[in-house]
Amino acid sequence: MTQEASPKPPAPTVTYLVKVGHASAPQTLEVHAAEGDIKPWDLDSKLHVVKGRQPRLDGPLKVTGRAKYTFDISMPGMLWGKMVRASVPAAEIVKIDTSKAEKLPGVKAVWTTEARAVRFAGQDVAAVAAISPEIAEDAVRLVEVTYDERPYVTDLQKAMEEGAPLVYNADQVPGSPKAPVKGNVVGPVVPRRGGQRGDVAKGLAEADVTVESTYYVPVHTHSPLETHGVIAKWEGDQLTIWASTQSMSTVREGMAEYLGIDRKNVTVITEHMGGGFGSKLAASAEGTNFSGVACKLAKQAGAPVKLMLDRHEEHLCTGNAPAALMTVRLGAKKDGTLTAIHHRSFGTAGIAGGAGTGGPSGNLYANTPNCLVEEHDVFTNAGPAAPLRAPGHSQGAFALESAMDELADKLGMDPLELRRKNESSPVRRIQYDIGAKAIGWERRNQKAGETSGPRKRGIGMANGNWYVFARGSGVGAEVKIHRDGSVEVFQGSQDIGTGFRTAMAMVVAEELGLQTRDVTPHVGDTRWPEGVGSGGSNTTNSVAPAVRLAAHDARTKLFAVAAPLLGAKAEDLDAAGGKIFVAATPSKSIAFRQAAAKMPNEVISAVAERKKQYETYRQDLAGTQFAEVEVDTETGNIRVLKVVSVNDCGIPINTLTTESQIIGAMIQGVSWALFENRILDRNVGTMVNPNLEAYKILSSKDMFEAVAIVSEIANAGNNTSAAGIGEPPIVPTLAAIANAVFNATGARVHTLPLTPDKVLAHINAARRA
Amino acid sequence: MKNFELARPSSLAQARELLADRPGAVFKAGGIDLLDHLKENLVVTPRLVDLKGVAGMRDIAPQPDGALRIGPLATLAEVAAHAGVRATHRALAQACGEAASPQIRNVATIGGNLLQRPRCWYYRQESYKCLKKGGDVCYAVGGENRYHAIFGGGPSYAVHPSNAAVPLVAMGAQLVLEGEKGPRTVAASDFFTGPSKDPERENQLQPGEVLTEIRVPAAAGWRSAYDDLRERAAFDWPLVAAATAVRVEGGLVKEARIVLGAVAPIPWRSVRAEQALIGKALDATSAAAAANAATVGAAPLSDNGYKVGLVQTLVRRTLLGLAS
Amino acid sequence: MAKPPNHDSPVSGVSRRTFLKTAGVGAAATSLIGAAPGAAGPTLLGPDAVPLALKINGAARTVTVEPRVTLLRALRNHLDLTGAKEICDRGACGGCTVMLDGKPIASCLMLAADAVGHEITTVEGLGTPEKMSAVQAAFVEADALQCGFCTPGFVVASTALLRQNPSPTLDQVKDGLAGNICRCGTYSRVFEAVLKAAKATPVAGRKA
Repeated sequence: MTQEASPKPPAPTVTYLVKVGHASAPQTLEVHAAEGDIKPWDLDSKLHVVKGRQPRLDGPLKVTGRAKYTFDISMPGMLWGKMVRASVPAAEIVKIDTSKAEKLPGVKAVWTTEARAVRFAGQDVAAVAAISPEIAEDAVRLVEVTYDERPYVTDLQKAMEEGAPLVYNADQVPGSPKAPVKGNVVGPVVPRRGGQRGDVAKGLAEADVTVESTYYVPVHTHSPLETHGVIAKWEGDQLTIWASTQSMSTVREGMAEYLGIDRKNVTVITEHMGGGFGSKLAASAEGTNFSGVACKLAKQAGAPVKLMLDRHEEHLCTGNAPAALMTVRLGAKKDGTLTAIHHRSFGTAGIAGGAGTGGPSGNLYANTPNCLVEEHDVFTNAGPAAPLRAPGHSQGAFALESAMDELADKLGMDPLELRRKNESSPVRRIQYDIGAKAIGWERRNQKAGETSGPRKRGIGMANGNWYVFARGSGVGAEVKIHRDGSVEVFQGSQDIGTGFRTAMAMVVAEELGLQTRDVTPHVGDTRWPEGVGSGGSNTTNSVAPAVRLAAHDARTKLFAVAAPLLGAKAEDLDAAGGKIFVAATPSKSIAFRQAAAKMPNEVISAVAERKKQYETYRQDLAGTQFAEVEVDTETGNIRVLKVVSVNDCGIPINTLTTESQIIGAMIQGVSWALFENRILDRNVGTMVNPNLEAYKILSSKDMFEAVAIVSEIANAGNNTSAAGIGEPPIVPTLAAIANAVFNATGARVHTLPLTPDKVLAHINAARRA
Repeated sequence: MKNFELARPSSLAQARELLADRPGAVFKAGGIDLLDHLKENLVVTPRLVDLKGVAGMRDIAPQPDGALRIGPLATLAEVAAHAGVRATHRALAQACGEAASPQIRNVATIGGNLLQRPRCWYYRQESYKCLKKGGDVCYAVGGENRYHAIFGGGPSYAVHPSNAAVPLVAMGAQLVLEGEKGPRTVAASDFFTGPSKDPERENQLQPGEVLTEIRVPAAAGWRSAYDDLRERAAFDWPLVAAATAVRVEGGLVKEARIVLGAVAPIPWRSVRAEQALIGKALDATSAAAAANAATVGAAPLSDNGYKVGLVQTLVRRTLLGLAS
Repeated sequence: MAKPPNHDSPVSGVSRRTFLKTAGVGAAATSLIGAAPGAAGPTLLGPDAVPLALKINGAARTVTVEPRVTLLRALRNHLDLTGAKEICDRGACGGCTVMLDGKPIASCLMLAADAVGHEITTVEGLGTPEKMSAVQAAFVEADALQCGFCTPGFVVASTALLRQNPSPTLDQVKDGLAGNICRCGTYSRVFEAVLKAAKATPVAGRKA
């Protein structure tokens, strides 16, 4: 998920003039694609399949229960793995006694950790493989672990205090932090992207109005419904791993390295995957090495081992979104023009780093002359964080966009007008109009909380920002046209539920002039052309250009077959509607299948590699959200009535599944805003709600009207003009809901989740004030 | 979950014999709460004695006088959907219909609902050796206690989890318990026991005893309602629950029952709140007075003071719902 | 290190003898168990694996499992019916939903032995990829799935709902699906699919 810098000068390029931007304000952009790349789809492209509403091709398998996820796969002789996890947050392991477990009939292999330091409750300690899951569960209870317990700290603010127990001694701090380390605190770090402009003190001094508030977002767990896990199977020196992963390539590389074997001897398969949201980008996961353990158990037992975590483990050690304590200071002129943004955050990613939240503050209002982002990581004795759907950005936007609302209130300005005043993106300007109309912005309370009665309605909005991430080269695809006219596409990335598989078939169909159903996509196997890890909303825009190139090459080869049949030159042909025809005289045509039947060989195979990313219309992805809520001011219950999300993802390949992702992000965001909270006991340091009963995820009866609007932007950058959509629509949601609650009640809640206890307390406080 | 043998008797006598025969054996009905306990290793037993094959324990039988007799093996879904219950004892149907989820209500029995153990997150994890598991500390005290008791707590503070118990206590239900010495009848209001007596139990069911029938008196002239407040709109345990029942004569409240759920280790009857209504017209003023009276004596822990306000709102609203 | 489970372990032997003595009824724990409790007098199953006769998707299936094995694990690990998912394993997510005599239940909170004598319908019994049920087809058409892991549970719960109430309102759909959690966020499209399936199928003779 590295962002491509502009191409290095020596590489030969081809220049295209591209019609980019929103259809209402088209612009011409000169781009310099790598030699061999084809002209990107743009506003002038006549697309027949792409941008359509295609139900996903794997839908029938999934709705009938036939799709086999990693969790569903079994094979002859397979054993069941189960892990023992640290029960205390900090300790030295004195002894691990597995003798009783080894003696249990049905147990075939045992693993124990070599690590001795326990830094969080949930860390890997031991594992067994047995002939049934029930026996494996019996066996782990027979493993006896002796701990020498140590002082620990699990609370963000307590960990920052002087004299707090140290998660790491000074010489043990992981990574190579360039920032100062003091106790458990690393920082401040000023992020490279947007972290510093001008002089924030000067900007605040120049302001007519300033606001400053501190916001807190607790830890959320990813809670994918398919837990993390693998099946590891050895055949000689060949290792096959069925993995519930977002990044098969990382699993392959990680296991080859861990086991000291050649990468070529490792195959990873992820046919269907039950959700990840960022937690499944590692070879195992941030807080556990279950893949490596499964491989070792399988080797030891001489049998395939399936090791799927249970729900309790999933909460403890597979990653989470860091808690964040954020102070935002804004300065503005009377007319609302921002003079300064100062974002100072302390976040805890448990025993890991990476808890920064300054992305929105540094990049959203890019015209603000003075900006400073200072991020701190605070170590705690808790499971390490992992990227979670726009890492740090939903938290950061909660702080910034709540502060913007507070500023608007102080200025006596419409919050939307304040945003317009400071907007730097032409795309978001268009989105404001679309979103405001869809929610009925004019219906909002002019004065917060002004409606009578105990149940009060309000409307709020917030912005989110994201970036165009795309892997520029090394990604491959293969397209095959068979002599019977059937078409396949092969690609070594995984479909994590985004509809990626279907989108690839659509790209091939578009290029070959076919229908989507004419193309069979094969994804989820590392033996196919190199794929990408699905992180940073980069899968479609990294892979689709390679797929399009491969399809284009296959088409060129097929045109060579068709040209003599049509008495024309291959370069004069085009394909659409299941036909190949002479572009100038479309009546001269031949059916795709007829042309294929004349192929000299059984199959046309075209393999292509993605070309580098190049100039785009925008490097940022704009999004804005509007929310309407009803707050019961006597119970503190919030009912979300409607959320409108307007998002840019370049040219959407499949509008249906693109909308689904936007809807899903809104729902997950509302769930975070209202309910979700990983709770570690303040005295014992272990999680009290490691389940789906007390770790609460939004239910059907909490649902609201979810309106997803794709504001299509021809963005260039690659030959499909695609950008990403998985993450951006969750960035604004927390703030949009909090701002709507303020508009409804006049109470500003700075701490999530917005549960009745907090909402009631703030309403009562606002009433007293 | 440790393995066990599964005994399937067809009569109560067999069931009791199969239980007595094997030390540590436990009864099972729908099995919802029991499987949770087994999976968390909170119950480790050599034998489950399944009561579902025992005849005559599943009927819902409205009596000629308007009373109800409910077999404890009737599922929550059956009680909630039963036309007779809905007609005469609406609050009970509501409470059963609001519990858990459709999938759970189709299997969970009303008997099991009354006898289930608390949902306290410390009790529910093996690793916390709390008072309810024979340990010597209630982790909620000074710990994560936002969902714990504001009434009747100490030494442990888990709240009673049963939705159905709340209206049953309000309606003056009787429970028939059958043990070694034959059947005995206990008022629902006496059946549930607080932690001061014995924090490891929530009721006075004796070893080997089986709940065989729930008897709910006729409710002619009464109006009743159950409601609760939750974080999630569905599939969540109540933060507070209330069953209210009133008998109004000549425009004035003659009798009232106000029982609260999810706020105490037992279904919590508020006599003070009831008294605030007697002799008054049921209106906004008397409802508010009862609501305030309902929280007199509340003793919140560090993080659950918000429940006081919720109780007041809920009592007031359910009473006003009965007035209209 | 490993021995196969001992079917003549003293534990089970004692238990059976004790039972025979005290209850005086000769239940054969090693013969096929095919009736619900109560129907065939007292029986004692296990603790070793017991053959159970189950009726699944209209077909008779036999599965030999220990009494502690849940219906969910019997389906998934012993009968290769993996449509129902093990997600929370505590009845808190609906991913394991199957129908028992037409009613949706959480198969993770039911012992396989307790399903004997009942009709079990899993998502596989509702349709095939080639011949989907009305509900399944509506899910695909409305894109009421993303990762799809919760989807079988939603499909079964939706089917049960429509069989009970062929023309539900939106609120009734939400009530009917209140026991199912989706993490990708497909709820609104699921509602759309269920309402569409309700409309698509004439009420009379509907099989959902």
